[in-house]
Amino acid sequence: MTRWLIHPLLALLMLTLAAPVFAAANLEINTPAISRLQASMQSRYQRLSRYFASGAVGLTHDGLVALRDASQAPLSQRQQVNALVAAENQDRRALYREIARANGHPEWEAEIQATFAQRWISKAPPGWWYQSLSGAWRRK
Amino acid sequence: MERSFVARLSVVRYFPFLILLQRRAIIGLWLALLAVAPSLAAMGLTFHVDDMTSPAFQAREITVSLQGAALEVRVGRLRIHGHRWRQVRLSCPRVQIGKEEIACPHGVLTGIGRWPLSFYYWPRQRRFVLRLAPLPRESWRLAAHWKRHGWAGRLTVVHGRLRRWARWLPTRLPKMTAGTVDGVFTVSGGSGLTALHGTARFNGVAFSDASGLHAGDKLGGKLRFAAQRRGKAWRWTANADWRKVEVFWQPLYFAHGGQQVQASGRLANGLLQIDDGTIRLADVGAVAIGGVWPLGGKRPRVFSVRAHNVDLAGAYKILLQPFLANGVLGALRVSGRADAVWRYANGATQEFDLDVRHGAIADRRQRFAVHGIDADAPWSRTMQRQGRLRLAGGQLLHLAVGPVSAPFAMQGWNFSASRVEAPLLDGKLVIDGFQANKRADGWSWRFHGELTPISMKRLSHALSLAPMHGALAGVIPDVRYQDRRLTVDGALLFNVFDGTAVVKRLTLLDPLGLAPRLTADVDMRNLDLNLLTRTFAFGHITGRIDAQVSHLVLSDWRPVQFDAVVRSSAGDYPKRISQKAVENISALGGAGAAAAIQRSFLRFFDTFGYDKIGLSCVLRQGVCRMGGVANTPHGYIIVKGGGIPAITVIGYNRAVGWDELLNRLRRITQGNLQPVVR
Repeated sequence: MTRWLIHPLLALLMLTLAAPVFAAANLEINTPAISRLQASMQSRYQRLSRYFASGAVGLTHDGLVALRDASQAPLSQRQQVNALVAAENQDRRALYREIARANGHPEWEAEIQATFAQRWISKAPPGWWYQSLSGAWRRK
Repeated sequence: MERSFVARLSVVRYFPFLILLQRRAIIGLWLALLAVAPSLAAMGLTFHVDDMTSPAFQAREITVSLQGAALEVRVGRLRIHGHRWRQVRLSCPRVQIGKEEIACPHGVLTGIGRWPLSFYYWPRQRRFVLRLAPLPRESWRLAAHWKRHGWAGRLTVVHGRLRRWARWLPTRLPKMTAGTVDGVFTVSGGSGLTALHGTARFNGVAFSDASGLHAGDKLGGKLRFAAQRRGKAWRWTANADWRKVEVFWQPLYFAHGGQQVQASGRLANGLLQIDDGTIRLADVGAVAIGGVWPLGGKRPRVFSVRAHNVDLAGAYKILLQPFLANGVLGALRVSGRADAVWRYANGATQEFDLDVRHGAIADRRQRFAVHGIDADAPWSRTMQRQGRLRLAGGQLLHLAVGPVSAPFAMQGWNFSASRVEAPLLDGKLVIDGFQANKRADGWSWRFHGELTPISMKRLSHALSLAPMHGALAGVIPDVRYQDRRLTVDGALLFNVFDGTAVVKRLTLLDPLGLAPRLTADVDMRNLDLNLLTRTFAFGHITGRIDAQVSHLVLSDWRPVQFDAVVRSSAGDYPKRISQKAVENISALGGAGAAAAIQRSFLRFFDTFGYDKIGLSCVLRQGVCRMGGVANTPHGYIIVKGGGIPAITVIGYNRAVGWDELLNRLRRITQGNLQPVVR
């Protein structure tokens, strides 16, 4: 019984200790690599946004994007959507990694990714699909 | 329960082949009833069956009713392959029942759709014909006959709509949404099925699963198959020729027709064996395949592929690129031809032999390119093998490399090469002791070597830098790559600008990734300022300097952090600085020097003497904290005067934005530097 109590308490303690450390992360930090990644994502946005709007692509709960319902895209475009999703995820992973490194804390990558995941979803326009923490798809 | 059992017996006795075709068991049931009770027809007959079941089929609440000439079969609940229907009804208003013939020329089936049908049964000949005609041009005709030792069935389809049967197929398969079929399918057997044969032509076929990840459209082509049972084994052949194709089968996409498959083999003991198979893919070539699959299994037990003279451009675009989209090799232009052999067994690749001729690859992001690839890699999982790689030339991060000839050894996923010489610009990169191996977290490799002199002029041109003078040469200590990190153990030693440069603690993260990050400490000694200033058109300075750059971090090849100190080197050597160089050094902190010189007698001198030059910059968060040779009450000395005439340059601005500093270097602008003339 004690063991069941100690585990959540330990986890809570670790969280409260970790939170102030992570709170120091500057998510708006800029480096040449971040600028390049942002430009790359910006140039892709136009092509990707219509698939977000149609529901073919959705925002995942871990800060990436995923092919949600391929049938919402014409057959001839599905491989292209696949490639766009793969490229976007490459950029996003590189972005989280670079922001963590630029902050001098590569070990913060996972927390930065989780924070961005919430941001992407909260800033997404109505009608876009996103994944809840349970993995279920929901429409904004 | 008993009535149900009786119905089953009737089916077996009169229509043994229906045991194998259980979907049609319901038809067999009522035909059987008619066959055993024709004399009762005039009296009226109603027969109930509670249920009939098989693994793929279930019919419940069955009522067969014969009233005068009207036959009606009702099925309250019908389930086929997981699909369900209610109140399925076969009506035959004018059934003709005689000893020679039982006929229903104008029946109709409702509940599944509304399908006009007719059927005939000749008891003496033991022949049966069923024809469905859902639409005027559409016909599905099943003819069957059976004798004492055998039976046969033949299905002839004219303009049959595939969508009609979509709900009858297992739900796990993609759903047919359009298309027609014309063809003839035959089955025959004795105590069991012994032969199958079919030829069919498909047109306008469309299918998709619920996710849309496995879908096709506008498919057209021919299909032939035949299978013969010998004892417990089947011999089979199949041939498919798809003239028109548009298929997306995650992540592959086939946009054109011209895809052909021919195969023959055996089926026995739950194993499907391909003895001789050929797949012809448009824009790729022909591939011979063979293997053994457990029926219902996800992976083959054994599988082999043999490809001859395959077009690498098509093979990469159609077959490889979709799987490599997430890696460095995900966006290439590829050309060339190759032969390939691949053998898979026991859940892993056992052997492959890749023989590439006239190959070329070029990264679309222009990070690397190689042409004239001639390679042979006869790899084995267990045996040691020798391979060879020849490259006519290429470029890596804009540096020209090659030609390269590299014999290499393979032992499983460990590759090694004793010595490789790769011409690099006008010098040479010598790689010794190269070793690469594949681990669970990816590839890792290491080597050591040396760099024979490369002209700085050519190097700077290749890297789009200001033209530099001198040569770059050095020793490369142990270089390791693992987990996307390249690390140099020890010091890289180069000769530059008539001095030396030592690079220590060099690491490079994601060297070919989207966000490459380099960290290092650089120590340069006795650089010739004459060569250096000529290079950067900075004005003319005679003398020598030392430069220490520690904690250097480059992000995407541009500096984001360093502690840099530049100082005049120790020793006795001529020290002169031109008026233009003074102006430009001044402009790093701001303008004023040029105007001050112009206002004083110094304008009559082209060069000045100096004692020391020194400048430091600590770059953090985009801001350069600057310092000089020594501090003054309000600034720092960048050039300390000495000799006649002497000039001292003092900087006052200690914090300068890095981008601003770069801009000032590019174009001389205004500021707050004032020269003090002594």
